[in-house]
Amino acid sequence: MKLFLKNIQVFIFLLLITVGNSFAQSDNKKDLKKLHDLQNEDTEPAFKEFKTPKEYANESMVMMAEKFKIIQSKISKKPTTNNPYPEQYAAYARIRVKLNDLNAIEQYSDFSFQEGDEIEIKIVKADGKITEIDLKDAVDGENVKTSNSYYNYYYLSSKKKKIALKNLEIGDIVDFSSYYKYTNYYYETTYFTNLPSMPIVYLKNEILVNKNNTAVFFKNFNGAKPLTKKTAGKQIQYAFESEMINKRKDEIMSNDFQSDPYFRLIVYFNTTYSYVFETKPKKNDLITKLDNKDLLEYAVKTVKSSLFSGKNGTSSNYLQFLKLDDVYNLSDEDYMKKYYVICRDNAFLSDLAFNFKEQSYGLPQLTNFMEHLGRRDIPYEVIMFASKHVSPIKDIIDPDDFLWGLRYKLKGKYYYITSFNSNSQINDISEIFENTDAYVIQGIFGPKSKLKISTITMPTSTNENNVYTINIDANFNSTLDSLKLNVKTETTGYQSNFDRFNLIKNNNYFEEYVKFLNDRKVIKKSKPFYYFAGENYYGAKKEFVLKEEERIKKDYYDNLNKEKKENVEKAAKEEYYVLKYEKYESLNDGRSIKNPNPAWKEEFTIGNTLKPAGNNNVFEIGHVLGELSKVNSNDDRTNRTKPFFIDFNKTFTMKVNIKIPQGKTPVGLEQLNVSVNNSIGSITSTAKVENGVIVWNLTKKLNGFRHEASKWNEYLNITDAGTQLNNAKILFK
Amino acid sequence: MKNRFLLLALLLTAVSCINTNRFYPKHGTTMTRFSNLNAYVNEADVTNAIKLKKKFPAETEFFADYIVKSYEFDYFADNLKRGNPIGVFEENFEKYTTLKDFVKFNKAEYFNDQINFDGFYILMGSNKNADYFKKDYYITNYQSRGIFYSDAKQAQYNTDLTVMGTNLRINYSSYIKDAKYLTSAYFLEGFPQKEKVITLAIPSYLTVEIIEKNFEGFTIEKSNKKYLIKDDKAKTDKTTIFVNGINGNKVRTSISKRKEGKEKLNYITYILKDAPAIKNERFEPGYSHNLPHIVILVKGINFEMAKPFSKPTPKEVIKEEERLAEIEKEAAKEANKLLAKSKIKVTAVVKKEVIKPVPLIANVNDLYAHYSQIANMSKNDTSVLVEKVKSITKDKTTDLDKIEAIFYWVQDNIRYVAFENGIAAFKPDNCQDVFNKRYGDCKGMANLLKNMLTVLGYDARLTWIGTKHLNYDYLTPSIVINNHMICTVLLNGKKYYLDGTESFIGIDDYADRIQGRQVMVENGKNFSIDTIPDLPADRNLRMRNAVFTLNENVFEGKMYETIKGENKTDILRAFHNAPLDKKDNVIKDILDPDDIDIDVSNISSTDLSNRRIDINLNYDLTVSNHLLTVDNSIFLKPDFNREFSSYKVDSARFFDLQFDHKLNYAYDLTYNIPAGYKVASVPPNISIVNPEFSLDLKYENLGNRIKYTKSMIFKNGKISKSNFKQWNEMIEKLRANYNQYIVINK
Repeated sequence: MKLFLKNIQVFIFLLLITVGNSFAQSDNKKDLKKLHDLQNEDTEPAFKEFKTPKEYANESMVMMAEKFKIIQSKISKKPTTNNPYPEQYAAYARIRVKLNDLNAIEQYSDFSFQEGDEIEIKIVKADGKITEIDLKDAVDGENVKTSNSYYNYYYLSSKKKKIALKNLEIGDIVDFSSYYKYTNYYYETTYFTNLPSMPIVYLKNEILVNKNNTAVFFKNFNGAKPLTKKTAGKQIQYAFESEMINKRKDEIMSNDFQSDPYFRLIVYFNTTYSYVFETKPKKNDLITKLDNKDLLEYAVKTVKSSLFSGKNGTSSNYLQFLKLDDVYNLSDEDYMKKYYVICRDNAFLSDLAFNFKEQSYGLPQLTNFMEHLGRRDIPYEVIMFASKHVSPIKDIIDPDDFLWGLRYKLKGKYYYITSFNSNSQINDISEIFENTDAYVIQGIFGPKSKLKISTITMPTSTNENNVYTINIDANFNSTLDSLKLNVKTETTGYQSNFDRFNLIKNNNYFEEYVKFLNDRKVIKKSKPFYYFAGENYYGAKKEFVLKEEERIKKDYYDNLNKEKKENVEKAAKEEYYVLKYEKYESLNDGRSIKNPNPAWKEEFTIGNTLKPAGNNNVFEIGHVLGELSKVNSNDDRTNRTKPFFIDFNKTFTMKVNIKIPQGKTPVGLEQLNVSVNNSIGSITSTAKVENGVIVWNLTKKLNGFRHEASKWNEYLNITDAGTQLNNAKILFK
Repeated sequence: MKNRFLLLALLLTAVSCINTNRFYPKHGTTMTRFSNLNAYVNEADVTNAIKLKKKFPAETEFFADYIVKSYEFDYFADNLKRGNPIGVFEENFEKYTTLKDFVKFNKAEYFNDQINFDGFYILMGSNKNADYFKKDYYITNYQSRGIFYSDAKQAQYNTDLTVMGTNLRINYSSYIKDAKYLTSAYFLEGFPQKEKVITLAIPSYLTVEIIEKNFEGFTIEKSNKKYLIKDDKAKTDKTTIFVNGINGNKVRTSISKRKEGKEKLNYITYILKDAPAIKNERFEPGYSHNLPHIVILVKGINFEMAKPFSKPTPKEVIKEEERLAEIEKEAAKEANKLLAKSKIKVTAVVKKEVIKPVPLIANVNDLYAHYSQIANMSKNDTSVLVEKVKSITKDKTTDLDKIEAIFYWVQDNIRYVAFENGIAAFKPDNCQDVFNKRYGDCKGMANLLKNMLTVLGYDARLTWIGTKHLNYDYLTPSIVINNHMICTVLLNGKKYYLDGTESFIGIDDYADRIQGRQVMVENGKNFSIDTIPDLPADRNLRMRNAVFTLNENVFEGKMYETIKGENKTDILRAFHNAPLDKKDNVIKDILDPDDIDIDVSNISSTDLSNRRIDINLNYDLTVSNHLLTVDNSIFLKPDFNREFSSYKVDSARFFDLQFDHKLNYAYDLTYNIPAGYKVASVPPNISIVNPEFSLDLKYENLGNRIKYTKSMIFKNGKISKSNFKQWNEMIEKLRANYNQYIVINK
């Protein structure tokens, strides 16, 4: 699809699609009267301006004017049987884009829409002449018809249209406007005010709401301007207006939410407010903060509702596990660890593999956990936290942004329960939560008077917690044209997040889990999903069915092993010039409570390292390291303007032993001795010869999280040192 | 138009499209619920699949026990109003076996207003009591990159087949209204086939010629026997096929398929056994270059012999037409009733453009008649062009300058937007419409060029051409041979071929894709067949010349570069299509594509707005990571581009290697030796000459400097399969050479 659509999609994405997941257009009838009325209200000079400001003279496309307006329906109706989706608001959008080159014309060459959309496209020529695009000239887009063979009937599921814009020339303005009606009960957006895909000369966003029955939540971040407020009759207008906004500049390792101005806006129309909170807000005020009372009520309501489902579902089956003698005798720590594993595996596996309906991620698992903490009289607290990529908890205005967890204390140590997935551990805290503030809710099941809310800081990790260790033993073959690598890798902490999942994703640990549950009579049907076909396919010949089950199981395992090897082989080939990938062996998948650090071994042969140079050889020794991270692009290296982000404190260590071929002497090893140390991290490399072996040690540390743009060169110093090592060559005399 | 023909190939050659996406449930995803639990698989099926699985690559998901494509020509009187009374029933009988568990079967069939599609009939599993059932399917508008709108539709049936060894039989039929549009049929598919059959039933009153293409290397049996379908449950006795009525598909009529034995049929049957699967390969040419297929030419009809067999009979046709006219009348009456208040009168129901009858295509004259008749349907009004033509050429003095100015204006101002809707797929859009809309497809652009030049008094003509994508010439009189339209202008006895879709190309220069191709140039009722010049590889010369100084870790120098032909137009396009704010970086990004080893600065170039001249660039170049200074020696890898070092081809590759264009690299790089040093060794020279490619790498020790020259020429941009061995040897030598260091000692 051309950019025109893409631009509009981006535009609509920012301002329209973010309304939530339940919107429905209420009316497909084309009636442009309302659209024209709203266009007439666009009296701002920008909507008449034709000349590109000199600041943007060198831009391919310029948004001369952009307006987006949310208009609450005058009478916001409640749903009834006859009208289950009454209209709540309308959205008016208008953009005027100046096309300054061939690229812009190509991008705006065509436009897609749904039949019945209330839209209008005009082309404004340099001489001021305006041509309206006749949408009747549109052709069918990618529509899907479904046949019903029995009735010889076709059902058309959508009517997409597209039109090529006529007579587009450099210097034209495309003036697009649309008017849509919506039935959903709230409008929500996260809007970055300074990150447009093209420069904007004039921008206005408006929200027109009715007095007395609407709640508007607003929070601005990173210096975004606040909304202005005007009252006119029975309506209140909130607006955001801006001019001369430069086009966004993409920079690697940046994080818009951390560094660019944006605001969050939620408008609850009519009675929907009580859907979220028990109490009504102060009418007509712009609400910029959730107070403790709101938070507590929200917490109690949410946790209690999910606890209800937990008590009546999952937990009862888990009790069968707890009846076992060996569990009763466990210490509190071990008991909860074991119980966590059951919750974790059940959450992940049950829906996937078994006819076992009580699966769930999140709150129901947490509430089960609470119940068992209660059984062991272990005090716990509910915690509400949020990703550091969203916003600090104090700035959250949408309760859906909160995530839920538990913490409990045993022998002076806090244990955090924040996730249940295939590879999580009892005290895992994702790096996106570390060192962030969290709310602690106490007394959630007691009387209101005992409810308390306080703030804590989530634990954080160090470089020593998150380590990626690679040990490589390298040996040349007899003809010196290839190098065999034996590689052992082990990861800890957040460094293992990816690997833990990646390593186990093709492990078939269903079998063990099935056996475990069968032994305890927790489930009735125990065949993993790859037996699903069963008798329905094969009829009643049971012997054949059994034989087929064996065959399918074998094929399934073979396929898993093949895929796993292909995955790691592919990863090796991305870093090395692999001639032959020989072996992969998982040493630890990282799911064990006792040893959560994934580890694996590989063997493969690489080429292209030893190059003829007269009677000697140049050994491109840096290739043995694989690919260290580098920053190549000139754009990325220069003119850094935004802060950059390293997700967490981390360490990479590589220990490389290369056996020197018989009769060869390495010359130039000293260039492998590198040391850079600055505020972003460090890289240290040393190499020496010991007993006919080149012993090369490399350690690279990077410090999380936010670093200002002024520190970018320090980061480059570290990556460039790595690149230098990757490019390193020595002579084998 | 070029895409239209491609599409027709899709529609009519019916290379089956089976998507075989795996749907193994993955851990962490919700289990897929399977829909075909009623397929019956027995022990023999599984045993058979296990046996087959061993014969084919591990990724093979389907094996076709047979694919039968049957084309039966017939005479339909009511088709006369569309021009050609000969229609074709196409029937397909296919049987598949799955070689894996959990595979997705997706069958797609294309059709348009020239083809009626009858739906998919499926028989699943091996249960003896099972039968064919007509299945629901999806119809989507055909979407393709480069075609803004096409009236072609894609019918899709898909189902999940869960167990290895599952048998699926599928039977589907189409009715091609005009036999001209049945152009070719291919033998290979994306999966292995035990037996592929293409069979044609030709009435004795019809002259059909079959051209066999790329049969070499395949054992394809040809006979004049009727092929008997090996499936007693297949619906071979279907006697009717629905034909859409006018104004949509509410009104339907049916055409009876002939009854056996009433008329004499000649059969031509091709059988290919144990057909291998084909897969997409990098740098593959168009399918017609390598894949075995037949081209079907319906050349003549004896009307007197044919009439007795007409279906429906002329009486039936008249009756049906009267019925439809009555429905139209009623519809108009109803509509007028509804609109009475607004006083708008409906005078006619939508009228389609009428094409006069055209003969079958027996020879190239008929082909031209067919094309020109459609082209003449354009209603050109050149009055709107006059002012613009004058303003474009006002400062031009010579004829060639004027023609050139018009050519460039069309290149620069008319966007390529292709519509393929009914006859519009073949008819050039009116010149005034293309001019006013500022967009069009190749036919529209050619027609606009012709009319703008005609306004100036030049002899400009529409010209039909098949690009290099196709492997045909005008010895094959079929619409399958053309996929493109250009304009030819005659000036002082010379022909200039103007391709409006080729942006930023100079006049009298031709894109590789049309070079050496035959063209059909209009000339009123006559035409001429000419050939566009086949320009040598020198046309695409990329010449580099530099003298480098060696420093400790880098070498640097001033590079002088000349870029011609296809490389030049690529750069001009990149430059002119780049956004204004990125233009300054376009050349640098091409020369220095984020390669950390290469740093380019101080670029100057010739005028990039002049598409007639070669591009000359000069710039400062610094190359790192190609030099090692150690132990009183310098080790130098002089080639920092390493072109084609990874272009070794799999010798089992099916297709020839077809690059975008011919290639000619000529590099002359000199490296000055630091004082006190002398060259100890250089890599060996290479000289390879082949009819399709040549390579010459030379290192010259000139005392205080080393000269490295590289000449790499791909003479026609294509490496034939017969040359793969030599090609791979060349690439291996090249790679080894690139890896070697020059040694310079103190």
